[in-house]
Amino acid sequence: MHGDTQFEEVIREHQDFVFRTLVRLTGSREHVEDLAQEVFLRLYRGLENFRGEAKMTTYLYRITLNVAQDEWKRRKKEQAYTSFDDRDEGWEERLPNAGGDAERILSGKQMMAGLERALGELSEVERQVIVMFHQEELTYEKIAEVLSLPLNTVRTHLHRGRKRLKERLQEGRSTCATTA
Amino acid sequence: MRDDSMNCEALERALHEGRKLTKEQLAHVENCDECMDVWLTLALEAKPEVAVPADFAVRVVASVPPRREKRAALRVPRHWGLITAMTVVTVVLVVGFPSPKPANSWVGLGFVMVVASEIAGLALWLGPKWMGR
Repeated sequence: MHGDTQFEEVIREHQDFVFRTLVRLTGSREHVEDLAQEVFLRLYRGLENFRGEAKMTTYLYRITLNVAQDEWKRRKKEQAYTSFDDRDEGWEERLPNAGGDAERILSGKQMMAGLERALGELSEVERQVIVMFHQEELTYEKIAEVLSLPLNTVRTHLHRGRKRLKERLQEGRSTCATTA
Repeated sequence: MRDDSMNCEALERALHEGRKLTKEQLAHVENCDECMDVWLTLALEAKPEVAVPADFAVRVVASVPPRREKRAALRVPRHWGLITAMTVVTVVLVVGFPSPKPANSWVGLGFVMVVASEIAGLALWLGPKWMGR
């Protein structure tokens, strides 16, 4: 893998995956371009060690997860210093006016927002496994390789993560119902 | 908990077809384990829409630091170089010492051959690894 043109091709080929995964794992679109750039710069530094495409994609997945993890930690630290959090409040007002369907769309969006929030409450590894398996359609074997985990551990994280998501979503609904 | 007043199969079909659900259907999804499973899977499989700037790849390539020339010079061990070197060593061992004094026999020659093959094997095994560094 040498040459700027080839590297540019690699970026074009994988940029959608990198952006999508970063958005899902960090739960925000803020700074996603900077983060994606960081991913590809780290990849570039490591490119000389790769001879096979398979190994390179594994490395790229790993870097993406690491960059998302770093960003997640940075945000957690920031949140510890400030009480302002835009994610939960006032988002209903920013939705486009959908006429008669507004209430229905709002319920659907509420569920999606609840899912994103619940994803953020999972452990790092559970979130990573769920996103790679469902969103990026990676196999158990590939996820195990990327995360350097045994296959059964990947299965366990996926099962446990999904269970927790369901619980959180249903807890969220109960909270909404009692507060309404 | 399953709410039997709503047809789960029809609801799951609607979810798979991407149809918008009514408020009642959504409320049912939240209460029904089976429907929640389907909704959760579909929601997780939905890829978030991202807008990658058209010039993103070009900008990243422009921002990478130039490679140091020293690296090219360091990539010295070559696969073919190692094979050639091993061939020479094998030929020298076999042809140059046909009658070793302490072992002037088939046993001695066999020993020499075993040592030579071990060295050749090592070169073939390590050569590609070194070449990749």
